[in-house]
Amino acid sequence: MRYYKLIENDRLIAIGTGYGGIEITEAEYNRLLTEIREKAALVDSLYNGEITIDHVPTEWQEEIQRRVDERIAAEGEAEDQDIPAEEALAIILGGEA
Amino acid sequence: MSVQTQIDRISGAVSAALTALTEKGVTVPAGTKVDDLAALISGIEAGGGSGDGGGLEITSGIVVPSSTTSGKFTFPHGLGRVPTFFAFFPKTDIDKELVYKQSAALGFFHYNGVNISVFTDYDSSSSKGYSKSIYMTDTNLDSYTSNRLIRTVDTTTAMFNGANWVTYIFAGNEYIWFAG
Repeated sequence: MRYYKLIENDRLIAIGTGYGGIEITEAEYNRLLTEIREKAALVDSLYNGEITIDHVPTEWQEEIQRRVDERIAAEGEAEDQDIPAEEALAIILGGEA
Repeated sequence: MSVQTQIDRISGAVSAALTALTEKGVTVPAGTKVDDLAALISGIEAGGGSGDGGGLEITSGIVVPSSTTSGKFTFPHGLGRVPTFFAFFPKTDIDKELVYKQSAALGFFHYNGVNISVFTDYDSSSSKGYSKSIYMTDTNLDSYTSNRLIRTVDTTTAMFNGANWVTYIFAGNEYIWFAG
């Protein structure tokens, strides 16, 4: 099985199996998978106030804080909506008024 | 067993192997010897596709986003053409605690111009998500319309875009995909 990583603007975007990206070993794939999941858990914990940024490894603090800020911004945009996006689309396409 | 018998046995096996290679679509030049077998076997196409289109060419894989996103997320499918069939879905059930205030992408299926997008809805009355929505549309996979979770960017790349419904794929979750 072929393993790869996708890099964009010096950031890891994804890992995967199959075609494309930069080929990596299975060991590297598993290492990156673990790291991605650890970071995702830290983002959730920081967002939920369960930890502070000081609990995040120093080398990850900038990334984790940025992702939490992005999540807050995204949810703030969602809360501004008066109706769900699906309903808005239905209205635009000529569904229910 | 005599030496001649052994020679006849091995010769027959090589002939049978060369015949099998021909049936697999590999060109076997006249006078091919056993020394050439390894190189000819390497010429067998993965998936068993034949020149008359009798084989079904499918590419597949797993992709794991590094960040949770409802925006554009591209990944390679490598089919070499716009797929007639495409499927994309999480390998395991999405942890309900991960579901954001909008929705989680649960799957996308396309066949011959028909698209089915499946995602969860956020239920404001219970403050939790997880009722499912299914949205069907009939556009080609490479169309630029946004009313489906996946479209193809080119002949080797697909793109998830959950912005239309603000539906997410989650960091660290494995998503299986098939293209054919």
